[in-house]
Amino acid sequence: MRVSFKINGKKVTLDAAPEARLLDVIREDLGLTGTKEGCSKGECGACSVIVDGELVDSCIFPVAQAEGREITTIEGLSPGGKLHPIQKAFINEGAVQCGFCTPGMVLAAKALLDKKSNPSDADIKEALSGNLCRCTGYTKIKSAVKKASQNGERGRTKKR
Amino acid sequence: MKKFIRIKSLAELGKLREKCVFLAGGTDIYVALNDGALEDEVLCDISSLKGLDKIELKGKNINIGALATFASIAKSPVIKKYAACLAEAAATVGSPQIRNRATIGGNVANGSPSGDAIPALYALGAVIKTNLRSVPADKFFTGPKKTVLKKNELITGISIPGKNNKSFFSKIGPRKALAISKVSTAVSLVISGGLIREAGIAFGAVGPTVIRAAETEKFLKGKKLNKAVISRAAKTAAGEICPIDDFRSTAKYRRETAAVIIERALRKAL
Repeated sequence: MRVSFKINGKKVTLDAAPEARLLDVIREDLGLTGTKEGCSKGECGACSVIVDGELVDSCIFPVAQAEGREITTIEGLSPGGKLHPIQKAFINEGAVQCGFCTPGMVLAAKALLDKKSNPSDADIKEALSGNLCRCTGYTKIKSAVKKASQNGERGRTKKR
Repeated sequence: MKKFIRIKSLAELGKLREKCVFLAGGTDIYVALNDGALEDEVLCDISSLKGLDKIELKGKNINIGALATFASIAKSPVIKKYAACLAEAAATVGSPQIRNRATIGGNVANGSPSGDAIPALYALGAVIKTNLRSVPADKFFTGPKKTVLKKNELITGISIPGKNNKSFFSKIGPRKALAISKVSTAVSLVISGGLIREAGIAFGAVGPTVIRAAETEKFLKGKKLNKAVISRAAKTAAGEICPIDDFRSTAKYRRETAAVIIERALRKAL
């Protein structure tokens, strides 16, 4: 089956089995290995990507349903290698240990901040509730998201 | 899976020869596929069916398309107003990633006694609409993951009678997200003139299907809602369920906790 969609702003057309998992197409066909496979059950969020503005688990998403959509993977946040403010916040706050959950966490944060630029602590917890981390205990991840929201999209501290 | 097909209109349903498993958001089916199940099944992708994701107030009814996602149901002003327990249930399903994909039609068709939308549908007196007929929610399920659906019969929507009600949902799981219920409850009350006119109460995960607490509903009808009545109702309800021991919980825990959560839900209506 031919399927066409936009990924990180670029249009791609490829041949894939319609039932193929979006995760596998992203990693194997497109070589974008930032998206990780953690559980294959939609329970850990390591495979999270953003499709038409909505955060989804790509391990349970058939590529047939990607037709005509706009997909953002973690690679899409740092075009040309320039880090996104959310990524900078994760580094500055010490929110990365092994890093395996991090792409999914960063995208969950992006999906939140794209909708709510000033999220409460409860909003942040809920937005990250589909992403598991075995290393950090979540505290620094949550403060990284809070910091990123306070610094605004362009990474500058808002004038008070 | 054996084959993957797509239909673009409901008219194509009649042309299907083989028995199909309908695929919408995939949050149940793809978990099964990834686990190696559904090997001999034909998957029929229905996600392109137009207009089946709407949530609308039509006359006195709230109509929810089968393809409406839990994310859209959780934030719908219409559902929050007339079917609050369903909005609450929808908000607890899985995770943001799951809610953006999982559909109410899929939750109903999967027919798990732990399916979180289902107790709310019982309590609200919802009707399941398929391409062939309409079936009240509390007549739709015949056993764990068993429904009355015939071969290639497709759920197209849910209809909820709009009432001036107060409704609540509660689920108990090992964590706040990504948890299958150990016990859940939904309650809907119509109160006027200080008396309970109608009561809808259902429990999930404590029987082979979601269970309607019919005796408790009968007990509450015509009564004034107060702490004594609530306490009696909770005891009655605990006797109407049939929980078992399984790897998620025990019958004892489920029975005691069911009484607690129905009491808490009823108190919210005070």
